[in-house]
Amino acid sequence: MTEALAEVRDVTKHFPLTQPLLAMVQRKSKDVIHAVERVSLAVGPGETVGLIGESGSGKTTLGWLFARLHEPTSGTVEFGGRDISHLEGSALRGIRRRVQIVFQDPVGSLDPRLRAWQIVGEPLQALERLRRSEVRDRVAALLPTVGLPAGSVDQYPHEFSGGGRQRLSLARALSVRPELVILDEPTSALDVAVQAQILNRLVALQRELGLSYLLITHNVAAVRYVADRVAVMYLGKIAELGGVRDVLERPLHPYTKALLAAVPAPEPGRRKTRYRVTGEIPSLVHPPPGCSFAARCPFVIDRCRTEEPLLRIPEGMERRWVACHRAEELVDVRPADLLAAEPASGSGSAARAM
Amino acid sequence: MTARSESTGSGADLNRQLSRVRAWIGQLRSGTRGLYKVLRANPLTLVGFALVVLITLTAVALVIVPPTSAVFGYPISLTPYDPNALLPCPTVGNQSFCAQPPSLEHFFGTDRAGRDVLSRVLTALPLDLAIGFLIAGFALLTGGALGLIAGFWDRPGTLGAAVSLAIMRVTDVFLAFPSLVLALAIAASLGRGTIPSIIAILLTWWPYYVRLTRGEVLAVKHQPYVTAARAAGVAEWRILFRHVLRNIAEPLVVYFTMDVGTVLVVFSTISFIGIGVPPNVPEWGNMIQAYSDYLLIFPWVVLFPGLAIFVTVLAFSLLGDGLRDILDPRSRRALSQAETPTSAPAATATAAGALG
Amino acid sequence: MLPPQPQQRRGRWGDFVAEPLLEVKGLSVDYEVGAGTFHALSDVSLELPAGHVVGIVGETGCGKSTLAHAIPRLLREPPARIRSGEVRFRGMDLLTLPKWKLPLVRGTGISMVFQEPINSLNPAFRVFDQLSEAVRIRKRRETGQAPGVVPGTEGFDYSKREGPKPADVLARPLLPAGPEARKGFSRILHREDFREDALDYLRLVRINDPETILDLYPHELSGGMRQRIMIAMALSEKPSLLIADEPTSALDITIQAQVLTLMKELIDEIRTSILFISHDLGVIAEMADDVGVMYAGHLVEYGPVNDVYEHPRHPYTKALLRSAPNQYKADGPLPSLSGSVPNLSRLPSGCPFHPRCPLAKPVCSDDPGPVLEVQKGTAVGHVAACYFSEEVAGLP
Repeated sequence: MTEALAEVRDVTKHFPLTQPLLAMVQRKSKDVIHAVERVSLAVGPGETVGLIGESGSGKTTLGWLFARLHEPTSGTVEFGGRDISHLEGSALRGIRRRVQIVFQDPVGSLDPRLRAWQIVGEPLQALERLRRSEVRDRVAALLPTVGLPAGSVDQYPHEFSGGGRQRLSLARALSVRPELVILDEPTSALDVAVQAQILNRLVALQRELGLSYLLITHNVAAVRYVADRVAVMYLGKIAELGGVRDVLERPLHPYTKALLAAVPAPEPGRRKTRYRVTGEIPSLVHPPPGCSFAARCPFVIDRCRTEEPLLRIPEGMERRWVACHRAEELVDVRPADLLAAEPASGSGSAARAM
Repeated sequence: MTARSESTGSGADLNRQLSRVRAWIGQLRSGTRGLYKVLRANPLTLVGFALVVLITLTAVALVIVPPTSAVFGYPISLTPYDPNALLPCPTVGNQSFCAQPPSLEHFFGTDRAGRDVLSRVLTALPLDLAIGFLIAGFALLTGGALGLIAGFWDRPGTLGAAVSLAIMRVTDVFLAFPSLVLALAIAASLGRGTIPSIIAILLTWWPYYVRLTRGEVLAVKHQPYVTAARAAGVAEWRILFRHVLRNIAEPLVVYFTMDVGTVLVVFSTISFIGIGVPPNVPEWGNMIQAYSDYLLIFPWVVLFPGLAIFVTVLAFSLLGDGLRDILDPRSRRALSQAETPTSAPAATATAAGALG
Repeated sequence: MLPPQPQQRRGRWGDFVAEPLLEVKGLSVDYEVGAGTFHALSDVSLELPAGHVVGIVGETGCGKSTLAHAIPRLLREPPARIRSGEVRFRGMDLLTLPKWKLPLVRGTGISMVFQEPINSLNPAFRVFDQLSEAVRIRKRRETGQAPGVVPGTEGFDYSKREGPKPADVLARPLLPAGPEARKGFSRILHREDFREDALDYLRLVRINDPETILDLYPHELSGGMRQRIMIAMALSEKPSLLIADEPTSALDITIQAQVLTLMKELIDEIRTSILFISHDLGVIAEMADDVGVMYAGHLVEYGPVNDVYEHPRHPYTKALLRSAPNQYKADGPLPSLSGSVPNLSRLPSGCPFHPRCPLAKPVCSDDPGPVLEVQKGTAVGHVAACYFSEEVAGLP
């Protein structure tokens, strides 16, 4: 087993909520947001790990933990074999050269008053202490590798297209030659055609520079294309983990099946389908006891509501982890089974209700 | 020039230097072009800009060449008459009519003491303008610094939070008083004179900047690009100067520009009430005060100083209004996507994103 | 120029419908701003037969949102300017309708659902307040207490075989407001009467525990919940046409699937026609009967959704389908379209797509560009605007 490049072990992150004065006086315990709960995940050198989930799953928080933008509430964050969980100051800056992050919001993560070379060269200035002239030259040489013309170094972010801004973010992350790049929703704000361009570029750069990626997204197809392994998260915990082919083609966790069934595909016959999974994502402040997916799971049994399933390797399989009591029983249930065909005729009750 | 990494020899160096100079010139040109475009698009801003330039240049000229200067015996003052000279008044019988309405010799007329109103209005210009800039500028620097501290080091549970709290509560106390009343009270206790009245206004003016600055700093602090800078390893103080200051500068400058006019009015009001500048020193508020009773008899003595205040404040307001468009690199570009409905794929809100 | 229509038109439920519910003819809209004139829509024509769901798909900036706002005249006239064209709803041209008649059309005629419900719902009012407003308006129109469409002609039942006589509905005299309308406080005092109806609406959109939801503020609800409430409000007056502008784009995937399923069930039960705008090809495939593909303000292809997806006849449609994420294959780089969407103030001459088109020939850049033409060998009603549409099938 090769040594992991970056790893989180049993990591938890809670965000405190400010308490109203009355609750403080009554000495009630403080509410926290349970963003990430006891998650362990490793990224190997040259590997791409996908992190799939919806809002509230904790995937962005986990990504920020890998980049040490948050300090874990408990558990450890390791990089290159070293514990970096509570580093500060110049030691932390040393790590920053090796782990970089591309943020979700291509508009907000670029300072609108700085020019492209100042933005992209910021890590160079801060971490390698280069002078302004050198920074500008380095950036001009770097921009073509992400698909931008070298002459655009002097432009402001608003003069770039959505795809262009995403490339600027990527160039900024790559400027210090990191080993691990965390990509937080790199394609979500982009059009379909531009998404394909960016994904191509990411794959090419990985091969060229030997990078590792942690790809955080809700775009399942992007993960299928780019990632080697994938983790599916729900409400701060990992529901399923394994090789990307295994998880996406033969999902084991009911949530993964529900997620894959929900992805709208431009196929004929979709119109007749009805999505059978109901319910909303539960609260992060008061997570339900037992399995967090129990309220919505079509296959829920009593045990699911009381006993929390742990991430384990199901019997008879290897290199796959699932957090579900009924994983083995439900092996043959496919995502398509969660899409029932439309009933024969409209019930009419709705028309009467109006 | 400092040493540079030699890659391909001095020829390449020269080229790089030249390209950098060219880039800088290009930026300057695009900046002026942008300014020109904005000025052309907003006629009001153009008026404000032109007026402010005119007023400032006049003030500077008046300081360089004071009203009673002479070179080799030849008077070269910019004002038609000496502002303090009591000019001969025409007499009819044993009544002297010193206060003359506007005429060809005295464009703004004369006051009861026979002094030329135009000269006095012009002489008062640098004084009033300087006081406006002085007070507003000082308030900006002190209030701005306090607001910066209160906004930037505001993480709950730290010493910074306690300091911020203290600053904001003191500011609130000052803000609770109507500024004019407070200024009058302070001026009255400090006595008459220019300096005490300046101090009085200063003490009541800085709180507004604290609140404004703190709000702006808080808004910028939570932007994704600040987090991105931290992720890039930038030190906190560097973030303050590079990202925060740059992004709060524009609203502050706009407010400051319009504030100069407001300060001017307040100072004139204090002089008008009689607490500010000594009686015979030419100052717009002073002049209005001296003849406020005679408004219906000698309107021109009150009208022209009042008009001067009005035009100056208007000019700065118009400029301040349009300054936002001039300064913001985004609005220098066309308002192309401003009001078009668009359904761009929504990036999920950063708050939700930060929690995963 | 309208594409030629088939002789007999069948609705979605097999019934015959006489006139299209909505006809857009040659609509051209410009935005005039300081930097220039942006041609947001260029000569767009389409027909929405009653009882159909028509999807409009395209990338950002293609004009689909402008189209959605132009139809019920929701565009702000400066900076927008409707250069030419007609929008005929039930036979009446909405663009020439006097402004005071527009509220008659909106609500019972045309209703809209937008992308971000947090922006459409008033954050200062509880859900109940906003729903009860919708219920109140409907009740007053039905009983003649508010000026509006004469009761009895709203909520057309498509299971019958007749259609409403075009122009009748809107040309009928207005009902004057009844004496109750003059009581200023009636709105507040009778609000509780509407509670049961408001609860019914929430149950209609499959919200569990509607009693609790009714008293919450919009920011206390999840995105999916807010969008369901928006749908309930939009459907409250039984509109003939619902315009949905990216209604699920801001939602999570599983929630989006739930809301789309809800909309499908409601379409079947209430039989509203829908103009569904989306950038997501899969969502359009789920919802629409017919699809129109837009590029740079032009409608470049239109037809039954299965046929357009399986046999696209415009190079842009083909490229768009190929870049769809579900088509990602593991071998080699993803197919991507080079270049970028043209600046709407500097559209290329002739066909707007020719600078990026693999099939481009010199004739493609001649003005005027290609118009929508019936495609042979495809399903009825499939049209595309390309001189070389036969060759599209041969593209990789």
